[in-house]
Amino acid sequence: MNTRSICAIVSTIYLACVAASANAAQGVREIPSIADRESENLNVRKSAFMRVIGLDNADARLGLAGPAARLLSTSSAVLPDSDERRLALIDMAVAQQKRLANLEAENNRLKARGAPVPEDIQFPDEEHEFYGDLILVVSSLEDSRALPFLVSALKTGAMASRAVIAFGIPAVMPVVDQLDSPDVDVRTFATGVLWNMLRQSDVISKDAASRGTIKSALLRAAADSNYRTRRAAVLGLSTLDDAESTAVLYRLAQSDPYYETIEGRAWYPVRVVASAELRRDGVRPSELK
Amino acid sequence: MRTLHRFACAAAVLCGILLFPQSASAYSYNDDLWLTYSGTQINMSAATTKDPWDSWGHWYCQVWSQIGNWCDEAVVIYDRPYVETQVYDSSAQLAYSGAAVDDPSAEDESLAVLTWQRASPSDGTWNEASQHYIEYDHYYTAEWGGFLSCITFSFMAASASSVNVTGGGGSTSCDPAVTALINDYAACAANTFVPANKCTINLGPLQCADFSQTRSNNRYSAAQLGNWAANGVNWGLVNDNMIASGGSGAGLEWALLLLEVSMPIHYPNSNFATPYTLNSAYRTPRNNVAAGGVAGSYHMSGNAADIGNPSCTPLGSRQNCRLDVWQTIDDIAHIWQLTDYYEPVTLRCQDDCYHFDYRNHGGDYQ
Repeated sequence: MNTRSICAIVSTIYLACVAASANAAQGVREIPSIADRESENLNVRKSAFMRVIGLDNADARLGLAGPAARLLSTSSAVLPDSDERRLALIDMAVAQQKRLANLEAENNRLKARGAPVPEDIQFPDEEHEFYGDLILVVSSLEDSRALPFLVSALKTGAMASRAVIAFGIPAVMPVVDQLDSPDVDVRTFATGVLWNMLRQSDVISKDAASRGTIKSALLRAAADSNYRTRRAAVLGLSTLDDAESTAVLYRLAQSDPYYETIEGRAWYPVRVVASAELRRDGVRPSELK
Repeated sequence: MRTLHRFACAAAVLCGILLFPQSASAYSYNDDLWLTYSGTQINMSAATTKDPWDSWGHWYCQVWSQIGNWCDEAVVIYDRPYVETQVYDSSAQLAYSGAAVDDPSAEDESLAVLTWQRASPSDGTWNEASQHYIEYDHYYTAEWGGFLSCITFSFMAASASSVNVTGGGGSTSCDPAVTALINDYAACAANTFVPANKCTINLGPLQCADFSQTRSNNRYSAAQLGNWAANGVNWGLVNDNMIASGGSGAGLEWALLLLEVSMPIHYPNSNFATPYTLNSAYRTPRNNVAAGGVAGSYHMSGNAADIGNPSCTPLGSRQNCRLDVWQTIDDIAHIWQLTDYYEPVTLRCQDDCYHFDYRNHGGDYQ
């Protein structure tokens, strides 16, 4: 065996050692424990969150504030590949949602009793900020296992709603089911998502079954007990642009019963919006009397 | 897993020592240590408490120090872009004088205190647009099988870019107020901001040019978006999302456009003044504390704005605000997807303002 062969063998062994070491270094990043991920201490949870997304060196206190999209686009670590990490993130988001619901319930309970409300219960702004960061990452996972959570988080804004719509047809029924919620915010915003599905997703809007499901749901929303949900149904019904939907729009424009008296005048919020939508479609005001 | 890691790394170290006895191959990693500057001294401080197991460097450090002794340490300061894959800009290399503290355990970089000066002490302006890095090299030597082994690896540490460089007659181009702001952000990231735990934001490397006196949109002036009056400084960190055209379909002006079109439909008999009051936009870390903002508020990254409820009387106050108007804005914001993340009416904005948040829209400051 000549010197060159020895060098080749030695080099191969060396490279194998380096590779083994690199793999081991990746593996050493353990997922934080459930105790940390669900700790009562927000900073412990934040730290766990940062470690789950691979920002091991980040300060535990720090959130993702800042140019988050840049972070998401430049750091593959933020969107973990491993199932374990993805599920851990989804679980954290679900747990945080429950925590905020519990805080709200506690806040309401104390207020109802006339008891003093601790500031961190009355204004859980820090907890909300963290919840927003969880939604930011979970909504970027494009993982169907996150769909139930994201649907349950539709109240939180466009990060969740856009992510839900991106799932396409499988997302339709879960959103429709939100119309059964006792929370008027949930029903109203779910109605808005159904409209956005029609205008933002070709897959959904061109699927006859999905379109039919959404139409039925919007007609239901137009008969909701709360005016805000009925008002939210207006845009969707207008987009459907069929005889049945238009008939419902006319009914809302002419006879929706809800009104408030503002500055001495009756204000019919659903009627005015439905009328405006019909006028936009070319209906003359006289036809709406 | 740690056992496997230890084994693999020890094997790699052993391989390195055995096979490349006289090489000086560098193992480098970004230690993310923020540097603090004081006068002409650079203090390498372990600003973040680090788990010694959380990265290669520390681990090697620990193992190697068990094997033998460090033969030398040297510090070289580079001026180079933040992105690690970029090439070194050696032209901006700084020389150092004074000795690094030779710490055999090499575990505590905070012991290294250096005096320094520019390598080419001519008049000029330090390149504030770049990041300053300090590379901390450790050389390990040992006798092994008759060979002298010398292996190098490096610690990297990033600093804020707003360093007043006076060595060699250089000067800074950064407005002092901006320098102070950048230093505040660096302190936030390094957990040295006072009051403690009231600013927990890490925007990465900020540059002078990130702060603007001109960024505005068709609704609000630079002074309003930069919140100059409340912040007490005539500069703002204003993200693209705040100034994007209303026709772009995203951002604050688009949200306002939608509201201005929609609200008269919802309230045909009301004459809400436009543009709506901008209660708060960019907040400096210090003003964010004063305003009671959350420690990681997106207001500090110039990515959030609080629009006043137009029904409050007097306008801009927190009085007589109608909840139905707030709810209508909330409905419009949700249905038209105007904000990435909302704040419920129960939070501090309550019913007198609506929080627009663009945390998932990227954008830049220049």
